[in-house]
Amino acid sequence: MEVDFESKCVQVPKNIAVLLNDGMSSEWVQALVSVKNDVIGSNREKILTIQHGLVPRLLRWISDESVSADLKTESAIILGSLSKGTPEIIRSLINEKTVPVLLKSMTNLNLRYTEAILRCMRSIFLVSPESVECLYEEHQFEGTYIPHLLSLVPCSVVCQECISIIIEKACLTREHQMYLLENNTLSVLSPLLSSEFYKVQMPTLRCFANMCYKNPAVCAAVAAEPNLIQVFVELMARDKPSEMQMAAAKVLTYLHRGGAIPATDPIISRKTLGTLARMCKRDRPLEENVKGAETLAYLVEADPDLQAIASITDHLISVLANYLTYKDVKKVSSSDQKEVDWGCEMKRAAYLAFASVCANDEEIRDKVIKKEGLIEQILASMNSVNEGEVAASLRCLQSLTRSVQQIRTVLNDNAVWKPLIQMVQSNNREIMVLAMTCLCNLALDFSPSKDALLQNNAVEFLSQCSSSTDNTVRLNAVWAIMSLTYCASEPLRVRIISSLGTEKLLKIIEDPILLIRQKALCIVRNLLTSLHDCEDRDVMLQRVLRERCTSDRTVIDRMVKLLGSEVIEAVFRTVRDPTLPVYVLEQALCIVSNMADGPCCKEHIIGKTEELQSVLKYLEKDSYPDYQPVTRLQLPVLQFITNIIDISEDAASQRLMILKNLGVQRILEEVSYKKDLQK
Amino acid sequence: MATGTSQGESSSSGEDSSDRLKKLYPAVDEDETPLPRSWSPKDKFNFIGLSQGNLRVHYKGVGKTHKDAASVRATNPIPAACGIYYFEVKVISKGRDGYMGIGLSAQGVNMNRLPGWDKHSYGYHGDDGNSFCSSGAGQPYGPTFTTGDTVGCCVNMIDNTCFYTKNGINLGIAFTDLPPNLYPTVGLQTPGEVVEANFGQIPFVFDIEDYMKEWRMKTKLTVERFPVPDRKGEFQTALHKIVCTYLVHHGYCAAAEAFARATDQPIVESIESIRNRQKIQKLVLAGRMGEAIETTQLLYPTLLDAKPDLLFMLKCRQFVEMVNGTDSEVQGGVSNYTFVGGVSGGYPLSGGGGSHTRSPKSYRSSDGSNRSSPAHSPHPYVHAGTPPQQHPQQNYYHIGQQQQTFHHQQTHHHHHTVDGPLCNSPNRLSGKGQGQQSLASLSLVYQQHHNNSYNNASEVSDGLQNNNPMNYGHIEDEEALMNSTNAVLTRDHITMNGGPVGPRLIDGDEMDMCVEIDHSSTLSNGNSQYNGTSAHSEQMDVDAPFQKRQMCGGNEAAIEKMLAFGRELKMMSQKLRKEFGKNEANKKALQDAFSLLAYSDPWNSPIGSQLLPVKREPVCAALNSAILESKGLPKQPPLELTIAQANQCMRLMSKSGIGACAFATVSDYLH
Repeated sequence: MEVDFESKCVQVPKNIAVLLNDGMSSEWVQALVSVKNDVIGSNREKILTIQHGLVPRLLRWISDESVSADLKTESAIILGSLSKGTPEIIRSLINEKTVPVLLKSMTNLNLRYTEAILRCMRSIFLVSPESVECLYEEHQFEGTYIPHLLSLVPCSVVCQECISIIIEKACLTREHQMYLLENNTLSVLSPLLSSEFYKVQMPTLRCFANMCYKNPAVCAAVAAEPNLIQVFVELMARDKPSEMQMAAAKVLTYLHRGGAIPATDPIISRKTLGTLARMCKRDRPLEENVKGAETLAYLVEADPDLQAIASITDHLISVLANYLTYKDVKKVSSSDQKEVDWGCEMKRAAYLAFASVCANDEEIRDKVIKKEGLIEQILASMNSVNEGEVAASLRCLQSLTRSVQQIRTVLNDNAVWKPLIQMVQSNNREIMVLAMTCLCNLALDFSPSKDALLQNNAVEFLSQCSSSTDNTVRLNAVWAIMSLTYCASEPLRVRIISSLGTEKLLKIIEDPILLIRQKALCIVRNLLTSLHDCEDRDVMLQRVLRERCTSDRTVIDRMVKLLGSEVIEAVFRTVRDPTLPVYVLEQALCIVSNMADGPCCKEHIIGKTEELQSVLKYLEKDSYPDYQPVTRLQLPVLQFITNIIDISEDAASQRLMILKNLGVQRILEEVSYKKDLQK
Repeated sequence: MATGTSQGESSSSGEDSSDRLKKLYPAVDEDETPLPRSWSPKDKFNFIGLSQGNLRVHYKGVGKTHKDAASVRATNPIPAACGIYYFEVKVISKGRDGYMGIGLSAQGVNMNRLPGWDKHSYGYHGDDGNSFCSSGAGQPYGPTFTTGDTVGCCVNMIDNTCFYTKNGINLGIAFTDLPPNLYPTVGLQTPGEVVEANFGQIPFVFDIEDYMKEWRMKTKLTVERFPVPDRKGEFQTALHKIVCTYLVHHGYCAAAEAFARATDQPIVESIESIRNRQKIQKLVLAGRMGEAIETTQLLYPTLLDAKPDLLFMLKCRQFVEMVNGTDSEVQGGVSNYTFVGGVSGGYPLSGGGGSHTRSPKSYRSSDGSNRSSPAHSPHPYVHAGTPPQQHPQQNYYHIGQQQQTFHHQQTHHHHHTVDGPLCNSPNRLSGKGQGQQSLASLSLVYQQHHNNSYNNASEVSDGLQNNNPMNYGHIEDEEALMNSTNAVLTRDHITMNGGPVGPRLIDGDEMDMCVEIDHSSTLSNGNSQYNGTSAHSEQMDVDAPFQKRQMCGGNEAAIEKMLAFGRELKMMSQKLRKEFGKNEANKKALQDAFSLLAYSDPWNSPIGSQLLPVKREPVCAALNSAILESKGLPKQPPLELTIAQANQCMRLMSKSGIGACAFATVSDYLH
């Protein structure tokens, strides 16, 4: 056989020779039929045909108006047959510009011809998503091929099957979604959902899913089609094949997230959620388990009520916990022929679902974390080589770290901070950001992991990240530092200030991202709080209220010194800019108010009339239309005044006089008339 | 908030609750296993109060400790034929502590407890959300439930599991390995607790139909994907055999031949024999009973002699067909019937065969073509569990109403005499040979006989069948009674449509024969009335509906013939009874046939259905089976046997508590 193959490669087979010979046009049709029969089911023959350059010839015939219908049809069928071959064969078809030629030649010559063209395109699109762009290119009549494609839908079942697959594959971006929507795709495709042919229904269903995904405009249009949502519900019935139930549930999930169906609708909260929970059960194939859990994660992600329902639906949490026990299940996926590690996939899907279900409710988090071995599994998955699994485990951890209780118990006992410290240095941005958000939560004052983090150079690392060009990284780093500075000891404050450095601090205080600016100001504010030597925070809080006098306020002076005049100047610059949003100004005013609590600072500030006036301005400022924000700004100013004139300190009366001279008394009297402040 | 019951919500208002339940559980035979429809006012602890049609339950005890717990069971256990059973309980008020348990328990489980605490008791409790599986210690199961919540309990009798729902949310499996025959149960423990049940009379919050759909599909797949190990092709061969024997049995000659050739099957019976049977069947189905009997006797001379009951059955049918006007003896004024009557010894009617002008031969030649396969396939009667029987009681009641009062009195009088000491009345032969008795008396006699049919005397005679002297004596007694009745009643009460007809008198009789007609074969051998449409056109004429039908086609001579035939039939009946003892089936057949004469328009009478062509089918099947049996072949084709067995299997499953029977029916697979 091998010898035979070689020889064939050398000399052109007779039929192909005939086809390539312009002088033998009378024998072409006969030869085409022979070639057609040869290539069916044989990759070797297909490769041979391509090697001998038949494809350009076939394409020329297809695009040539003068060629007979028979010849065109047979050529299209051979191309269709070739497109069923190996990816290499399809690659060479694409290189020969098969797709644009086919699109251009998609005439209604006869049904057999049209079907052959559509089949060929479908096969190519199934393998090569990048070729779909051709569909959206403008042709000679100033339009795309989409309307023409849609007009072919009523022709036959084969057309329906192929076109729905083509459009399913051709809906990859928001632009595609909108273009398809504008071209009336919904009303053309929706009757196909009720087709009696499964192979028409399924791609159509997937097509709807692709069109609705994260696109509120399409979702609204789908909801507006009469009875269409009910059709999806019917396709989700329990006696339908699970593949179909899954696909229908996906569409309904996207419709919910796209704002077309509210979470309170039983279609979502009972039917769709119930279907997805069922897809997670053991009697379904792994692939469906994964899809079910992923889709469920997306469905409930944003709605606390759905999360609560999911947590009691059909033992979902136990079922998902069971996902984590899969190990080394390697199998070929049905959609693309790649080998998939289903162990990783199952874990990834379970973590995502846990992350969503635990997003808001402490009780659910408790239920999840109590599942045997969950934390151990998460820790193991954080070291996985599969980055998808790592990221998902971090998402899950992120949801769990929102729980005060878990941070203080299970999460601390298992030292989850350890791998996190390493993971924030990951090259994978997603993983790094996720690890950072987890750290943010663990760095909170009440977290026992905080000390461990500090011992492991978290401050230095976070300082470094605070100058990252990646906004998300920068925000998270600044946020984490802010958490660390809360009620920090003096040495830690010194360490943070020196590690950050004036330059970085200045940069983030005037960051273009206002949220980062706010957090940066919060850092300064936290650094400038009076120091308490008590370790027990709860008791401390009480003492803050009761015995302010006993706390060490000289630390404020030391910290201001350490920060330097440039930083303080930057704070005042912020105060002087009334165009900034309230949440930024509020923090700046708090800093000034805290500074006024420092014995030396008081003296310093009272001498700066300009600064004093800029602060006091906020007491009377009513340029804000809404008085609520004004109150938020007035409170720190009042605190500032209180601190300045605190009688327990020297020269309080002198400072009071200065303020009086600035008209503070008059302003205060005015303020006290306002009802909202008396409250 | 109704999940998925959108179709129920709108249609519920007009729908009868029992209809809803029947629709929900179509496989349940409520005569055998009634569905739970309310809480039982008997099967409850006395701290439980019921209201609102026994659907609402409230606690009326002191509710101090768990010793004050009280439960109530539903009226009936859950029938296994439900397959999937579901009920919902709405918490109207959680009362003081909300210690409510919803679940299942077996009969006899202590009612002074919450469901779940004892053996064969299962519950889900509202206060802690735990499930209790025959144990005082609960397992964490679901959320708690309280006022305003609707809790559903679903029992799956296919995999013997149970899950609960809360406000339409499936909470997942709570119990496995449940025993059969559990009752829906609720238990309450503190004052103020009120719950209300929905056993399906109104739409559920949870979409149970969707769950049922899944199990219907699963059951279907289990059946369809049942592995048949067929390495040696045995199964295939068996299937071929089943098809072939079926074709042969019903006389689809050409089809059988072709099938046998294609599948390499032997046909046990000769083609000639199949054709003969087919020919007879066609005659029966065309209503030409006389010819059918003749042909049978010609082709299978010993068959009917050996089976007098069968012959009697055929003759009764012939009588009916005579009334119908379809039998060749009374048809179209052609009088080709030579009556050989009054023959003592042997069977009086069997001698007439040779004198028929329409011999089987001529019939066959006119059939000419080789189209031996009937054009229509047999009607699949096979799945019907009970034959479309007539109810003698009802029929006779109608007859009785038409009689004059004194007939009733007579009836009663004679009824009494049967039990009385007049058994050895000397009148016993007085009626014989008189020949002039009224038709009315005939039907009256049957009424009387019907009344008698369950009396002690007949039972005695059944019991002593082999005791000859006793038996004979007894039969004579009854005969005597009968004839005395006839003697008394000589007035004409019937006017026939056929014109001025004088008084007609036929001897009444009672038919007792010892050989039971095989019911099962009669029932399961379905045949289409059109089995012979490829034959004569005159047959078609016979079955064509008349605008105004008259007895015996309105032909007076034919009526005479019919009456004469009736007398013969009666004699035959008497003879059979003498020889073989009583036979209820024969008695009934004759009663039914003769009763037709009591009506001026028998077709529209309560017993008119026996005149329908479709009633020829059981007769045809019985004759066909008898012929096959006489030739040593199975009287029932294996296909029909298999179907009957499958049906029986379904009934047994239902009885044995196997829930899968709810979602599979044999008829689903018969097209």
